[in-house]
Amino acid sequence: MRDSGSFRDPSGFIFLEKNILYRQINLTYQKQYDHLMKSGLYEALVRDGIFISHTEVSYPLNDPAAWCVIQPQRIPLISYPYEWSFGAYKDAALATLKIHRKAVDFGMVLKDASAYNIQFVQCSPKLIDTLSFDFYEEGQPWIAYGQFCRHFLAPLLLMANIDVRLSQLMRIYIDGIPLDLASKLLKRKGGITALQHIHWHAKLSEKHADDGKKQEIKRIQPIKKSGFIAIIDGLIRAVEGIRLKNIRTEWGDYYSETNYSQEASKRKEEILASWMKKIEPQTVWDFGANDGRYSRIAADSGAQVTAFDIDPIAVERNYQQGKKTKTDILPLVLDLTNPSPAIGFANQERSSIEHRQQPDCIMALALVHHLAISNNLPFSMISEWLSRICKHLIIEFVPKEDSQVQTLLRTRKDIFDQYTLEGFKTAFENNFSFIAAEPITGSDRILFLCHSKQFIHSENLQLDQ
Amino acid sequence: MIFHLDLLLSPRNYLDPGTGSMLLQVIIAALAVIGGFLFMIREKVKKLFSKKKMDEIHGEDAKSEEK
Repeated sequence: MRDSGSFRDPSGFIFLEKNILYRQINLTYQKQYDHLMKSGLYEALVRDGIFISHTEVSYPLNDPAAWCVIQPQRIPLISYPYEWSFGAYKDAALATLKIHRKAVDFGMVLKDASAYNIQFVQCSPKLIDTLSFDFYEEGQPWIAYGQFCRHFLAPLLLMANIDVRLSQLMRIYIDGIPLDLASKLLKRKGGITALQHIHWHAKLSEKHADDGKKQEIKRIQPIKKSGFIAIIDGLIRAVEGIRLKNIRTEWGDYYSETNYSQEASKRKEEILASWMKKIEPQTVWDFGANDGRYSRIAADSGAQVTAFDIDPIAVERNYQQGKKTKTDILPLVLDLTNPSPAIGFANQERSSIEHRQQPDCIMALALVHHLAISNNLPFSMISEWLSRICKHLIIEFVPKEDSQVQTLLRTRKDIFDQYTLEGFKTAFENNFSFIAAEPITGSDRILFLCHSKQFIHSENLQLDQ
Repeated sequence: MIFHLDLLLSPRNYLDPGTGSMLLQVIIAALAVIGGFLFMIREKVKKLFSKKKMDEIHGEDAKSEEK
């Protein structure tokens, strides 16, 4: 089965057979692939940890355009730029530039600079597209420069200078944020980096937008290799210089402002650890993970954890922590009331979050009141959705008397008659079997461990790799 | 020396590089070379000062040890 997101580059494509991921490399890409492998570039990039490895496999080739087939390293969970925190986005941009810079030393360049070509293994970015390299030709500008600015520089500058949430524009614009839009939004912010790569870039692109209609052939001064390298080095310095201003969001200080006693936190950790031992999940999604305190318990039990939160600053903290500790956690930004949808051509190029992985376990800790009260979601709808996407669920019931719920209700009318422990149990019993329930000592909250009645294992998850 | 833009482009490219993006690189290449040179100087000066500072600290340490 050919991946529906792998169609742009005629050099080859990704396909899946018997749950094994392959990449076909076409005859048109033979020379580039051979150079990548024999020049030492592949080895150098894999050694630096910024490029996925692969093995060459003997695969029956029926396609006359095919040259060979490789089996790339699998990425635990495919993520998209609009789900990355600022630090992850910046690291992805730097990885792209460093790969491009190293490629030049080996007589090659990156022929594309799509943010979707970068994926994370834990908190480490890697280029996943083996077909992204082409030969460097003296005089030629960088073909992917415009794409790099739309996919990386514009979102980073907007996140740092205007609002960190503007990475969500990547969800609307699949080929990166249009530079004229980025220029309008940035106004005069972003310094010399924005001036050159966004404002001038947008103006010049606009000026030459209709060049295709003109009969005359455009003439251009070739760029010397020293200039070509200087642009890459300048871009690396520019990206390194983009920093997030010190801002505080609603969740950023959650753990210092929570109503949890130390005793309750400790008890919660103990229960989670014992349940993890019991169900031994290989993959865990932590919904409402904040800075990943409880995600780390799942990771310590040996699971691959994806820690989702709506707050980009909490996710950023989790990411920076993950980089330091190298735990098996990938923190991502996700609004559970509007999760990442399928986007792109025929809505099949980039898949929705629930079609990328089926986690063995979902943790929904201190979350249900936000969904049910802040977002008016009935328990039955929450339960139905969760039961479709995971095998096991660990969910924390937060009663109405809890001060956090009272805070939510203080500014609105309490229309939530069904928000009771009985109402919760009845709704979740429809879709789940309860395995265990433990009150969290030192609080009024209860943790439930349940098994889904609806879960159907699917082998047709989208690859996007 | 001036080249035709289409002659500079490899027939293998599948992206539309955009004329504006290509022309801009000609302009910013020169700026980037100057920028890189200034950056190098700044780093050297920084290194020199931090070395001087370190030498001073070590010098003071040595003096206090002598005392």
